[in-house]
Amino acid sequence: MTRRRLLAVVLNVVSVAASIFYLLAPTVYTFFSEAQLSYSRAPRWFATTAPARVTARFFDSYNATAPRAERFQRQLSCFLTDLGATHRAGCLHEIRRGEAVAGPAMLKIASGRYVAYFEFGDSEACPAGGEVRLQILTPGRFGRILADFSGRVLPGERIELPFQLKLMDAALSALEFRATGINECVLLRRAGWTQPVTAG
Amino acid sequence: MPERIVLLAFALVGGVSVLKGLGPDVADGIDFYWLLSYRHGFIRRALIGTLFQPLLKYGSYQQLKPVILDLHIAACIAIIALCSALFWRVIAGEKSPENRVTLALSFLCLMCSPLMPTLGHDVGYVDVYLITLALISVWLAQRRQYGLAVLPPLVGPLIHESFLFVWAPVAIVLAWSCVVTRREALRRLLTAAVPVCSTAAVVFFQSPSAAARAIETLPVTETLKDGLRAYELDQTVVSSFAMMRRYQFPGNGAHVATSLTYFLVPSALIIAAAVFCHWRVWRLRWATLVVVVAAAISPVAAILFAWDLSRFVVWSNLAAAITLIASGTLLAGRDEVP
Repeated sequence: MTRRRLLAVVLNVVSVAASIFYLLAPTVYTFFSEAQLSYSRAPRWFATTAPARVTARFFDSYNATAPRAERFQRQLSCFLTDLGATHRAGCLHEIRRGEAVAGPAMLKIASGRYVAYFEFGDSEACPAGGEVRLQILTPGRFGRILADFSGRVLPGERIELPFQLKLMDAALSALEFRATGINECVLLRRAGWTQPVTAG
Repeated sequence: MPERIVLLAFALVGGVSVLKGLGPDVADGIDFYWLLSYRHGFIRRALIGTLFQPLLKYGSYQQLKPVILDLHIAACIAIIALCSALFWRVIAGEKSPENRVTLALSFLCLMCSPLMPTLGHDVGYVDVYLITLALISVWLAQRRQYGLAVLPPLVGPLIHESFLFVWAPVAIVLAWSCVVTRREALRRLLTAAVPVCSTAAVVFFQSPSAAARAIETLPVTETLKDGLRAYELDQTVVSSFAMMRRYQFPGNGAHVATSLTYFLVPSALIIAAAVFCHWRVWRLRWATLVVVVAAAISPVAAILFAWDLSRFVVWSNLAAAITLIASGTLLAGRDEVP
């Protein structure tokens, strides 16, 4: 085999390997402070391949200091959308049976173990608390419920929900906080999450 | 014949790659590209909207959004077809089997590169039309039809001035081909320079009052209008660069490095293929290598002025492919190959 042919073999093997890698890897859309990974109309099994995991790992820390996530973390309840619930001044949400709040839009954070919290207060309309379902989830095509709580909450109570955001969940989905009223009425005063306890 | 089948198969892979990123609908906040027109006078970035206006007789903008998606898909297909045609032309001119295989696999590398899903992702953006125009011009230049080749780059800046960054690799290889081949220098330089003149005309002749009136009549929110006034009326190269230097670059050096590392690997491989296939036919070899690398990374300069990091960095994948194609034809003095 001539030197030139050997060079051709090496170059072409690397080209084919890179082509397969990038074909199976997710679509990566980066801004200066945030990265979004996705598979739009590709088979779901693409997301289980090694290129998908390698790409997710490569970009995992990209969103660790995203300014949008920091803003959401400071005042998350202000970025929750009322799905039938009533918005009150000071980013408070009155949630009755069948009503919900959810959000924020496109929250991207790095993988890891976190603790989400929901704090409740009281108002004239919601003086005694009620039954509520609290969820931390990753909506969309690769969606999962990461933490789930159902039960009665009282004014002044703080519910903490530990959850693990795995590497591929962090890469391919946004994080969503959701509170759904089951019975009576609750006033959601604050919500948020702690810094990661451990890396994912 | 086998090469044609292989290229067709690789083009289909490119289609899968586009589908991987294809957005469901026109991206948020960019409706103005399709609604701004020359109705109130000459304004920048309004050519697409002007061409789209007649369709609004048949339905509202919201009803016509699927048409924009269809046009976007058609443009992506056109880009794949043009890339196939350009690569086929270079492969057809090669006698060495190693070179033919390497060129074909470089086409596969381009089809799988982050460029393709990113093009699919940005539904409603005008990037796909800018790239289509640039590729048409390259195709014509390869056939030495310079009279026609100047038309797409004349039009490109009327769609968006960022056409200059898509065009940069073409301009660089055209200019360098004059140096190394000393053939058709005037035609090539004219073709290379046309979008610069066109962009200057867009900036110089834009009517601020027409732009203000056009924005005022847009059926979008006031918040979007405010952003658009800053974008259409106040944005300059200097102001964009100042904004990037003040807000986007500080503290994000690692992110830029991460993105460049990930997105530029296919570009590096395509450049390596150009060196492997054409080193022996290049004149002024080392200087040509520097020019080829500079041309391939030239679109990355766009990130000095705009914050959609990956959207512009992936243009380098296409730029590398253009330099590979040009390095076997224009830079080697073989553009007359049938």
